[in-house]
Amino acid sequence: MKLRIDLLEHLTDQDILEEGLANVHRYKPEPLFSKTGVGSLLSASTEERAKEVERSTELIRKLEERARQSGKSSSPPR
Amino acid sequence: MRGRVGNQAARHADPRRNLGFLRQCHRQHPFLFFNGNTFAEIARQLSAALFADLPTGRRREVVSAVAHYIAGVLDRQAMVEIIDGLCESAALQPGDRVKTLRSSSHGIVKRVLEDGRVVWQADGSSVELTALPETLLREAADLP
Repeated sequence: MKLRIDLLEHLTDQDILEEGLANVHRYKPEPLFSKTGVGSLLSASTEERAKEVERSTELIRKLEERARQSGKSSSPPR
Repeated sequence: MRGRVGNQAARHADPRRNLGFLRQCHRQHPFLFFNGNTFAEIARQLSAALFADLPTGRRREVVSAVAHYIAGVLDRQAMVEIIDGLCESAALQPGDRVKTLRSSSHGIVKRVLEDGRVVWQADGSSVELTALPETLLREAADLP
């Protein structure tokens, strides 16, 4: 399996922001990791996991579309 | 912090170094609230793009492992093992030891169907289960 570094070029701040806002409730606001060396991340519910998959699939579709529009091949580098 | 992120992106296209850097950023908690989602979600989206060629179920678990690593829940070794295991293009064969993605069940492959699905039997059960190959991980064979 090849890492799709080619798709990373088309990832935008907005893509990250959207995912961050969708998952913000899973993080504790306290800086636990810096104080204790062990962080926390609330487990996702089944429904949240299904939505994560949808968003992830949509993100990849968007990235491949952007790659096509920019004239670069969206196929993995050989 | 913004300068450091920019420099890091310019210097290293290596995903492993970038993940380590994002974990450091999270641990330094540069923002008053919600440090975790800032850096873990950057890593989540990076890994979703990087592992776009994985089957959906495996990609979801890879992305989750990366987010847990950045958030300080998983250590690096555990994350690497999870990702390596999930990326292994498992050409499963009858007799192979397998486990489910979350290691909740272990068993042995009985046969592979023509459509690629795998018939396997969980340890301690006589029931045969049919699964998609991407939902099983190969286990190292037991040494004699």
